[in-house]
Amino acid sequence: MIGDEIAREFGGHSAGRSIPVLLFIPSVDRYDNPVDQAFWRDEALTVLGKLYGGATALPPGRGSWWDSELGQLLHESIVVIFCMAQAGDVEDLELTGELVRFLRRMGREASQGEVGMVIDGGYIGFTNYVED
Amino acid sequence: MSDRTEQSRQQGPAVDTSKLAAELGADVYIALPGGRPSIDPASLARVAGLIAQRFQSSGGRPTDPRWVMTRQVPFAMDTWDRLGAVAEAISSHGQRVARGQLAAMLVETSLQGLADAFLTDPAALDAYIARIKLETAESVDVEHEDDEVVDCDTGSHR
Repeated sequence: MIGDEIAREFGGHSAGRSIPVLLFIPSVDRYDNPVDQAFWRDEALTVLGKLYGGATALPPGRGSWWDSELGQLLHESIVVIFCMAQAGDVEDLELTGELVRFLRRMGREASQGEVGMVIDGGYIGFTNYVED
Repeated sequence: MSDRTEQSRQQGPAVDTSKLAAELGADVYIALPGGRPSIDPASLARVAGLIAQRFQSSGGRPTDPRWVMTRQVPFAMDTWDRLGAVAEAISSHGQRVARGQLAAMLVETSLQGLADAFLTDPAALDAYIARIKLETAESVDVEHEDDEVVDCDTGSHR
Protein backbone atom coordinates (compact mmCIF):
# COMPACT_ATOMS: atom_id res chain seq x y z
CA MET A 1 0.00 0.00 0.00
CA ILE A 2 1.62 3.18 -1.15
CA GLY A 3 0.32 5.26 1.74
CA ASP A 4 1.85 2.89 4.26
CA GLU A 5 5.16 2.99 2.40
CA ILE A 6 5.18 6.76 2.34
CA ALA A 7 4.46 6.97 6.03
CA ARG A 8 7.23 4.49 6.78
CA GLU A 9 9.78 5.85 4.35
CA PHE A 10 9.27 9.43 5.41
CA GLY A 11 9.33 8.80 9.11
CA GLY A 12 5.84 7.61 9.96
CA HIS A 13 5.50 4.62 12.20
CA SER A 14 3.39 1.54 12.56
CA ALA A 15 0.45 2.05 14.85
CA GLY A 16 1.01 -1.24 16.67
CA ARG A 17 -1.25 -1.34 19.69
CA SER A 18 -1.75 2.39 19.45
CA ILE A 19 -4.74 3.61 17.54
CA PRO A 20 -5.46 7.02 16.03
CA VAL A 21 -8.00 9.36 17.58
CA LEU A 22 -9.03 12.46 15.64
CA LEU A 23 -11.22 15.32 16.78
CA PHE A 24 -12.60 18.11 14.62
CA ILE A 25 -12.63 21.62 16.03
CA PRO A 26 -15.07 23.94 14.27
CA SER A 27 -14.61 27.62 13.48
CA VAL A 28 -18.31 28.47 13.12
CA ASP A 29 -21.52 27.39 14.78
CA ARG A 30 -24.37 25.79 12.89
CA TYR A 31 -25.72 29.24 12.02
CA ASP A 32 -22.36 30.26 10.48
CA ASN A 33 -21.38 32.52 13.36
CA PRO A 34 -17.72 32.37 14.42
CA VAL A 35 -16.77 30.41 17.52
CA ASP A 36 -13.61 30.64 19.62
CA GLN A 37 -11.74 27.91 17.79
CA ALA A 38 -8.45 28.53 19.63
CA PHE A 39 -10.20 28.01 22.96
CA TRP A 40 -11.78 24.70 21.91
CA ARG A 41 -8.54 23.59 20.26
CA ASP A 42 -6.62 24.12 23.49
CA GLU A 43 -9.35 22.48 25.53
CA ALA A 44 -9.20 19.44 23.25
CA LEU A 45 -5.42 19.27 23.54
CA THR A 46 -5.71 19.39 27.30
CA VAL A 47 -8.35 16.68 27.44
CA LEU A 48 -6.53 14.35 25.03
CA GLY A 49 -3.21 15.00 26.72
CA LYS A 50 -4.70 14.13 30.09
CA LEU A 51 -6.58 11.06 28.87
CA TYR A 52 -4.22 9.55 26.32
CA GLY A 53 -0.86 11.15 26.94
CA GLY A 54 -0.63 13.81 24.23
CA ALA A 55 -2.10 15.22 21.05
CA THR A 56 -1.23 17.41 18.09
CA ALA A 57 -3.32 20.19 16.57
CA LEU A 58 -2.84 20.27 12.82
CA PRO A 59 -3.02 23.47 10.78
CA PRO A 60 -6.56 24.43 9.77
CA GLY A 61 -8.00 22.98 6.61
CA ARG A 62 -11.15 23.85 4.74
CA GLY A 63 -14.10 21.67 5.50
CA SER A 64 -17.78 21.42 4.75
CA TRP A 65 -20.69 19.88 6.63
CA TRP A 66 -24.25 19.32 5.57
CA ASP A 67 -26.70 20.26 8.31
CA SER A 68 -29.63 18.03 7.43
CA GLU A 69 -31.81 19.54 10.15
CA LEU A 70 -31.40 23.12 8.89
CA GLY A 71 -30.99 22.04 5.26
CA GLN A 72 -27.83 24.00 4.61
CA LEU A 73 -24.20 23.39 3.79
CA LEU A 74 -21.60 25.03 6.02
CA HIS A 75 -18.09 25.80 4.81
CA GLU A 76 -15.54 26.42 7.49
CA SER A 77 -11.95 26.22 8.60
CA ILE A 78 -11.47 23.03 10.59
CA VAL A 79 -8.68 22.19 13.01
CA VAL A 80 -8.00 18.47 13.31
CA ILE A 81 -6.61 17.26 16.61
CA PHE A 82 -4.67 14.04 16.24
CA CYS A 83 -3.38 11.67 18.86
CA MET A 84 -2.23 8.10 19.14
CA ALA A 85 -3.87 6.39 22.11
CA GLN A 86 -3.34 2.99 23.62
CA ALA A 87 -6.20 0.67 22.69
CA GLY A 88 -6.83 -0.15 26.34
CA ASP A 89 -7.21 3.50 27.22
CA VAL A 90 -9.70 4.06 24.39
CA GLU A 91 -11.72 1.04 25.52
CA ASP A 92 -11.75 2.39 29.07
CA LEU A 93 -15.25 3.87 29.17
CA GLU A 94 -14.34 6.09 32.09
CA LEU A 95 -11.53 7.73 30.08
CA THR A 96 -13.29 7.88 26.74
CA GLY A 97 -16.50 8.89 28.48
CA GLU A 98 -14.67 12.02 29.62
CA LEU A 99 -13.74 12.71 26.01
CA VAL A 100 -17.38 12.33 25.04
CA ARG A 101 -18.35 14.76 27.78
CA PHE A 102 -15.92 17.25 26.29
CA LEU A 103 -17.38 16.75 22.82
CA ARG A 104 -20.92 17.21 24.08
CA ARG A 105 -19.89 20.32 25.97
CA MET A 106 -18.33 21.74 22.81
CA GLY A 107 -21.40 20.80 20.83
CA ARG A 108 -23.66 22.49 23.35
CA GLU A 109 -21.65 25.62 24.10
CA ALA A 110 -20.45 26.18 20.52
CA SER A 111 -23.90 25.49 19.06
CA GLN A 112 -22.85 22.66 16.77
CA GLY A 113 -25.22 20.56 14.73
CA GLU A 114 -22.97 17.58 15.30
CA VAL A 115 -19.65 16.84 16.95
CA GLY A 116 -17.61 13.74 16.49
CA MET A 117 -14.36 11.89 16.44
CA VAL A 118 -12.66 9.24 14.41
CA ILE A 119 -11.37 6.35 16.45
CA ASP A 120 -9.43 3.72 14.55
CA GLY A 121 -11.74 2.57 11.76
CA GLY A 122 -14.93 4.38 12.67
CA TYR A 123 -16.52 7.81 13.02
CA ILE A 124 -18.46 8.32 16.24
CA GLY A 125 -20.76 11.33 16.23
CA PHE A 126 -23.06 13.06 18.68
CA THR A 127 -26.04 15.30 18.03
CA ASN A 128 -27.64 15.03 21.47
CA TYR A 129 -25.64 16.94 24.04
CA VAL A 130 -27.56 16.01 27.15
CA GLU A 131 -25.22 14.48 29.70
CA ASP A 132 -25.89 10.86 30.62
CA MET B 1 0.21 4.15 31.93
CA SER B 2 -2.43 1.88 33.41
CA ASP B 3 -2.17 -1.87 33.95
CA ARG B 4 -5.05 -2.21 31.57
CA THR B 5 -3.11 -0.41 28.89
CA GLU B 6 -0.11 -2.65 29.38
CA GLN B 7 -2.35 -5.71 29.17
CA SER B 8 -3.87 -4.38 25.96
CA ARG B 9 -0.47 -3.68 24.49
CA GLN B 10 0.55 -7.26 25.05
CA GLN B 11 -2.53 -9.20 24.05
CA GLY B 12 -5.51 -6.94 23.37
CA PRO B 13 -7.47 -7.03 20.13
CA ALA B 14 -8.11 -4.02 17.91
CA VAL B 15 -10.77 -1.69 19.23
CA ASP B 16 -14.31 -2.56 18.17
CA THR B 17 -15.40 0.99 17.40
CA SER B 18 -18.96 -0.01 16.58
CA LYS B 19 -19.38 -1.51 20.04
CA LEU B 20 -17.57 1.42 21.60
CA ALA B 21 -19.89 3.88 19.86
CA ALA B 22 -22.90 2.09 21.28
CA GLU B 23 -21.40 2.02 24.76
CA LEU B 24 -20.66 5.74 24.56
CA GLY B 25 -24.21 6.53 23.51
CA ALA B 26 -23.27 7.84 20.08
CA ASP B 27 -25.98 9.20 17.81
CA VAL B 28 -23.98 8.56 14.66
CA TYR B 29 -21.61 5.78 13.74
CA ILE B 30 -19.93 5.40 10.39
CA ALA B 31 -17.52 2.58 9.67
CA LEU B 32 -14.72 3.98 7.56
CA PRO B 33 -14.18 2.13 4.27
CA GLY B 34 -10.98 0.16 4.52
CA GLY B 35 -10.85 0.57 8.28
CA ARG B 36 -7.98 2.49 9.76
CA PRO B 37 -6.62 5.24 7.52
CA SER B 38 -3.42 4.02 5.91
CA ILE B 39 -1.73 7.35 6.39
CA ASP B 40 -2.45 9.61 9.28
CA PRO B 41 -2.65 13.41 9.22
CA ALA B 42 0.44 13.80 11.38
CA SER B 43 2.51 11.74 8.92
CA LEU B 44 1.13 13.76 6.02
CA ALA B 45 2.05 16.99 7.74
CA ARG B 46 5.51 15.65 8.47
CA VAL B 47 6.00 14.55 4.86
CA ALA B 48 4.88 17.99 3.67
CA GLY B 49 7.50 19.54 5.96
CA LEU B 50 10.25 17.26 4.67
CA ILE B 51 9.32 18.04 1.07
CA ALA B 52 9.35 21.77 1.82
CA GLN B 53 12.91 21.42 3.09
CA ARG B 54 14.01 19.67 -0.12
CA PHE B 55 12.24 21.76 -2.70
CA GLN B 56 13.56 25.01 -4.05
CA SER B 57 12.03 27.44 -6.48
CA SER B 58 13.94 29.25 -9.20
CA GLY B 59 10.88 31.04 -10.45
CA GLY B 60 8.81 28.06 -11.49
CA ARG B 61 7.25 25.19 -9.62
CA PRO B 62 9.37 24.33 -6.56
CA THR B 63 11.35 21.14 -7.08
CA ASP B 64 14.43 19.24 -5.95
CA PRO B 65 17.39 20.90 -7.68
CA ARG B 66 19.12 17.52 -7.99
CA TRP B 67 16.46 16.31 -10.38
CA VAL B 68 18.11 17.17 -13.68
CA MET B 69 16.89 14.24 -15.79
CA THR B 70 13.47 13.28 -17.04
CA ARG B 71 12.75 9.68 -17.98
CA GLN B 72 9.63 7.90 -19.06
CA VAL B 73 8.39 5.44 -16.47
CA PRO B 74 5.37 3.18 -16.98
CA PHE B 75 2.64 3.12 -14.36
CA ALA B 76 -0.47 1.07 -13.84
CA MET B 77 -3.51 3.32 -13.90
CA ASP B 78 -4.46 2.57 -10.30
CA THR B 79 -0.91 3.30 -9.14
CA TRP B 80 -1.00 6.65 -10.94
CA ASP B 81 -4.36 7.39 -9.33
CA ARG B 82 -3.02 6.50 -5.88
CA LEU B 83 -0.03 8.74 -6.41
CA GLY B 84 -2.39 11.54 -7.29
CA ALA B 85 -4.51 10.97 -4.21
CA VAL B 86 -1.53 10.90 -1.87
CA ALA B 87 0.09 13.92 -3.54
CA GLU B 88 -3.16 15.82 -3.13
CA ALA B 89 -3.37 14.83 0.53
CA ILE B 90 0.19 16.00 1.15
CA SER B 91 -0.44 19.20 -0.79
CA SER B 92 -3.37 19.99 1.50
CA HIS B 93 -0.81 20.40 4.29
CA GLY B 94 0.76 23.42 2.65
CA GLN B 95 3.47 22.01 0.39
CA ARG B 96 2.33 21.43 -3.16
CA VAL B 97 3.78 18.28 -4.64
CA ALA B 98 2.97 16.72 -8.00
CA ARG B 99 2.46 13.01 -8.34
CA GLY B 100 5.56 12.70 -10.51
CA GLN B 101 7.60 14.43 -7.84
CA LEU B 102 6.18 12.11 -5.22
CA ALA B 103 7.06 9.12 -7.41
CA ALA B 104 10.65 10.35 -7.74
CA MET B 105 10.97 10.69 -3.97
CA LEU B 106 9.53 7.22 -3.42
CA VAL B 107 12.00 5.75 -5.88
CA GLU B 108 14.88 7.38 -4.04
CA THR B 109 13.76 6.27 -0.58
CA SER B 110 12.86 2.76 -1.77
CA LEU B 111 16.23 2.38 -3.47
CA GLN B 112 17.97 3.32 -0.26
CA GLY B 113 15.88 0.79 1.62
CA LEU B 114 16.69 -1.91 -0.93
CA ALA B 115 20.39 -1.16 -0.74
CA ASP B 116 20.30 -1.48 3.04
CA ALA B 117 18.35 -4.74 2.83
CA PHE B 118 20.70 -6.28 0.28
CA LEU B 119 23.73 -5.42 2.38
CA THR B 120 22.35 -7.29 5.36
CA ASP B 121 20.69 -10.14 3.45
CA PRO B 122 22.34 -11.24 0.17
CA ALA B 123 19.54 -13.75 -0.45
CA ALA B 124 17.11 -10.85 -0.61
CA LEU B 125 18.92 -9.57 -3.70
CA ASP B 126 18.46 -12.88 -5.52
CA ALA B 127 14.79 -12.96 -4.62
CA TYR B 128 14.34 -9.40 -5.79
CA ILE B 129 16.08 -10.03 -9.12
CA ALA B 130 13.87 -13.06 -9.70
CA ARG B 131 10.79 -10.96 -9.03
CA ILE B 132 11.96 -8.21 -11.37
CA LYS B 133 12.62 -10.76 -14.14
CA LEU B 134 9.12 -12.13 -13.72
CA GLU B 135 7.49 -8.71 -13.83
CA THR B 136 9.51 -7.34 -16.75
CA ALA B 137 8.87 -10.49 -18.80
CA GLU B 138 5.22 -9.45 -18.82
CA SER B 139 5.93 -5.83 -19.80
CA VAL B 140 6.67 -5.89 -23.51
CA ASP B 141 5.69 -2.27 -24.14
CA VAL B 142 8.34 -0.55 -22.09
CA GLU B 143 11.47 -1.44 -24.05
CA HIS B 144 13.81 1.33 -25.17
CA GLU B 145 11.98 4.04 -23.27
CA ASP B 146 14.94 5.06 -21.16
CA ASP B 147 16.03 7.85 -23.44
CA GLU B 148 12.67 9.38 -24.18
CA VAL B 149 11.71 12.69 -22.62
CA VAL B 150 8.05 12.92 -21.82
CA ASP B 151 5.70 15.40 -20.28
CA CYS B 152 5.91 14.04 -16.77
CA ASP B 153 5.07 16.39 -13.91
CA THR B 154 8.28 15.99 -11.95
CA GLY B 155 8.85 19.71 -12.18
CA SER B 156 12.39 19.23 -13.45
CA HIS B 157 13.88 21.53 -16.03
CA ARG B 158 14.65 20.12 -19.44
